[in-house]
Amino acid sequence: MAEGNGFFAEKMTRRHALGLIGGSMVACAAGLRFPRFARALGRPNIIFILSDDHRWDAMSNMGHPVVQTPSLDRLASQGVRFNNAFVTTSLCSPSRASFLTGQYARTHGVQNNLTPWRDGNVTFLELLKKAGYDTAFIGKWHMPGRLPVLRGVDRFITFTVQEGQGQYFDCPLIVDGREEPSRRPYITEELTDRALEFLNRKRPNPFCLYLSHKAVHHRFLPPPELNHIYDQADLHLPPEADSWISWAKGQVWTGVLGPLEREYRNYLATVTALDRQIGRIIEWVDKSGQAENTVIVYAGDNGFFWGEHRFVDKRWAYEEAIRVPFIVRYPGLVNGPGRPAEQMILNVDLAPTLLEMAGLAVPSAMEGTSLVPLLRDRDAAGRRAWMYEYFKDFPYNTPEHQAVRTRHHKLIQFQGGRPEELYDLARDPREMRNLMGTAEGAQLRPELAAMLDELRRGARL
Amino acid sequence: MTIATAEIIRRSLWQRAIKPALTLLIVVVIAIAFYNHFWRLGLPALQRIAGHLFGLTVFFSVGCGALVVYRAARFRGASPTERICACLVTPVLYTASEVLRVREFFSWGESLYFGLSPGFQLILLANFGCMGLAEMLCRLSLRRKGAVIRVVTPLPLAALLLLPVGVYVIVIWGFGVHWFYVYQQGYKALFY
Repeated sequence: MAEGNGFFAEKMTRRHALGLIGGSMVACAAGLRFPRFARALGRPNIIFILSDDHRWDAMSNMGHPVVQTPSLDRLASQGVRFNNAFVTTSLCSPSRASFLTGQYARTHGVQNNLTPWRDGNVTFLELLKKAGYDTAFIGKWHMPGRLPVLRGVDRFITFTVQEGQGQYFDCPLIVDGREEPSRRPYITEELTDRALEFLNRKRPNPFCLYLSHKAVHHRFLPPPELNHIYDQADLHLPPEADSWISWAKGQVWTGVLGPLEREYRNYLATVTALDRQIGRIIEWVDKSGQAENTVIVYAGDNGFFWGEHRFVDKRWAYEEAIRVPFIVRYPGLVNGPGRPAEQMILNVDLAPTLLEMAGLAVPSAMEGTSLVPLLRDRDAAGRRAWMYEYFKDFPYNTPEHQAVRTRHHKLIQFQGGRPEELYDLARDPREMRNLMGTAEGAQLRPELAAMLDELRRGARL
Repeated sequence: MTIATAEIIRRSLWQRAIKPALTLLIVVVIAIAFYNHFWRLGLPALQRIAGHLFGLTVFFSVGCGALVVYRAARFRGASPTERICACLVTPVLYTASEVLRVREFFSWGESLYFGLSPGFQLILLANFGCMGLAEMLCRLSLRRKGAVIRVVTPLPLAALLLLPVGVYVIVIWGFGVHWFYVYQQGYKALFY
């Protein structure tokens, strides 16, 4: 592919050009209100890859001192890496439901790992299916309640063992409602195989693949060949961490029971194992000749503490838990591929983004905002502030709380007696100095509290 | 009266039961305080060492403290009931403190149920296991001194066996996941 800025700077085959012209003419004749790029390219294929507990900085393209992620690096170098991507609730089930529905947990109802998925929830897969897409959901579903008949999904491959968490090795699958054994021992490879099978089908329609990995969730098990790859690495754990931190203050529930260093090394090796499988998907897209018109989005469902604030796990509104990797590659749309984007984006933005890319109207019930303007224009304005929410999830020792995060500040309000916390993220990125009770905090708090109230009422800032 | 019990001088309640229990409790309180707050001293070079030292002290004192307390109480003439009570002081108070701590997040009912969770079940079983082991070790020690006493009898053996059974069910079975979900089903039945 030729280097250049944007779609028109890139090399095109005659067949591709004729296809585009033909597609555009059909679309215009049909009176469809496609966005400009959709008119030019036709409806894109969509591949959304979601990982579990992959924190935003555990990629080599983010300068991580240990982990190697060449596939994600490649994706970032060919697309846009959002450096300020967040989840609105840092917990698997609520966050996954937010990716699917474009809604906050308070709206879609999956507030923790106990509250069930509502059958009335509308996913972007359902809307894409109605618009003629071939769709597949492959991988971790992990919503409380019974496994649903997921509307708008042609192929639904998931697992229910261990309450839907699945297992790294020999994980039995539920394939369109029927139990099947895993054909490959390692779950990430198995799910990738299944995804490639779906991609390889000949079809007249565009496709949307939702590939949702178990990795890199606890128990952080890499395949045997990667088991000890980071054993000699200097881990750079935070100064407040120690080996047994997961045994303190009720954190034993996270299941991270071994010494922190051992668990972290396994986590990083599991990230590298995941990266290899993502590489297989990218390879397929590039070799299929559909790269130009295929969107690949990679994201994590929440972050993870590795000793910061003396926490292991996620849930809290601190940066380590709420920031996620979020990379979009779409050569037909992205202006200036290989660039980072600093605007704040959210997991609830995924659904509206994909719908807009497909030329579909975004339902008003979706609370996210399409990222298309940010992908087109590096200087497009992002949101000023957004709301984080966490709901009680027994027996995990985290109080219900809400927070407002602006580009430079964060105010956290807890339910119960715990006092508020306010941080200057520019000067104190590790959130170690609570400004409440200081003159600076007193000055900052009113505006942030007012913002949080507005956001609670549904405002978009 | 057997030779074994006759050889042991019955000390005061303070000496035979309260003091051993309190000693362990103080060790645990100090270790927890240092474990949780040592990092605030800003000594990164010592943080890992302190983590190991205080973290493991807490872990073994709460989980296996009965091994020491039981022996001390036994050789100071404490009755079986007194020995058991002395051994349970630390695990019970530790659990109670955790129940009170999580009141910040949960209702009273949920907090009490939290106190019945697998981690605390394991602590309790481990301590009973340690009591069984300690009783048999004490008997062995007495027999070496000439007492006519059977080392292995059903009750301490059963107590000792609680430990591997607990470890298997709570920790090894599905790497802790299965028993945790049984516990969670109980939570759903009670509170949802």
